[in-house]
Amino acid sequence: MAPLLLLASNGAIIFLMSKTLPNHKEYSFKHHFVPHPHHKTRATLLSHSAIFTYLLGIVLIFGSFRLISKTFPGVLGYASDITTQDLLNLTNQKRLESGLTELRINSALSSAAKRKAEDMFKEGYWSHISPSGTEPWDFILRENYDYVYAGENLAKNFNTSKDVVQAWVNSSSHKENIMNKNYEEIGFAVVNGVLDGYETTLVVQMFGKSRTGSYVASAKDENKILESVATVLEDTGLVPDPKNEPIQKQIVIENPVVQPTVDIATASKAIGLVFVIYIVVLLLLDIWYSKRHSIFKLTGHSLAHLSFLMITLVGMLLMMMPGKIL
Amino acid sequence: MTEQEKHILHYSFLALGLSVLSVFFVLFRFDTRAQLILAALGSLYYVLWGIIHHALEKRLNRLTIFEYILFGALVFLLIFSVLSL
Repeated sequence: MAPLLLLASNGAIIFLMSKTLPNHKEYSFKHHFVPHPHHKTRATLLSHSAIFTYLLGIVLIFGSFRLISKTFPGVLGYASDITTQDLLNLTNQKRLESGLTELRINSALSSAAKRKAEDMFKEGYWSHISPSGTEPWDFILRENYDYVYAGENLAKNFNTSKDVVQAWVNSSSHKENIMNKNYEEIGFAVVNGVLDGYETTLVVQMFGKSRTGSYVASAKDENKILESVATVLEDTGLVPDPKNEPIQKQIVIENPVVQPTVDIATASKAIGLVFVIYIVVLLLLDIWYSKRHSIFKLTGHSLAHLSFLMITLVGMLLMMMPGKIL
Repeated sequence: MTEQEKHILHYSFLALGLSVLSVFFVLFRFDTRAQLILAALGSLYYVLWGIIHHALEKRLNRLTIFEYILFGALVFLLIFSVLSL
């Protein structure tokens, strides 16, 4: 039996003994998730201090992501499952399905593709023609590839080889390149680096038909070229002078790209998504509980917050979509 | 105009503004910088909407302003963090 003291309007204190009246002022565990009917406040997990804590948490989590990715790139880093071998196989598979011949990998075209990707990172552009006016054909000619026909497809920020090739095939102009019967050879480059301040994976696909015939003589050479074209920009050295070196030597075996245990981009998007869903659920609980118990809170509108968070959720899902082709 | 009609009108402005920004967010889905600017604009729009809406309802106080600023900052920081990694 709990004693209850009431202050009457004339100042007298009324002493009551009550078994039934609960202590409204106390917060219980459930008030972390639902509004308090007496205090007219939101759930403590949606309080101002909680949201301020979330802000600090976001800064800390994503800040530590950056730190870990730089310190331990093998644990947390940028991963993409794009390999030149898969790109070649998938491209040829599409050609064979259309009754065309397979394209042969060519070292000069792969080298040109690599130089093009590096140039895009260095000059900070994403286009077939560089700001200084360099065209894809310039990169091909610099590799002493005297072409009759040539073409270029670009892709960025895809996660898998399959997504890249599928995106190209879905676009009529890119498909035209892939299905062009005039081409006999192909070259690829998959290069990671920083473009416009953001970690980016660029894929360059170059097609050609040489006036003088193929440079690739054997399957062994083909494998060597495929191994060499996936690279990280930091590995980039000086461009060899094509006039002084034989074509085959222009492709240098680079350090292999480190594939981290956890992909930082996927992890950050997943955390962001889960967090937004968590806030959305809390707001839904807030709206439902307030209505059910007729709690009128002197706060901002949960419905407005919910709408804003739902739009954010759509944006987050959009950010998870694969990259772009050009 | 009844209170309910006013409420609907205010929310229509919120929905319209956020929808327009969402359309641009989709259009610029491959341009990270543009998406960041849109996220900042969206957050700013939301904070301003909250302040104006509560002021028109004569329920504006410092805590309410702070709440909208917190939600706006939360969403922007989240999008910024995800986009910049």
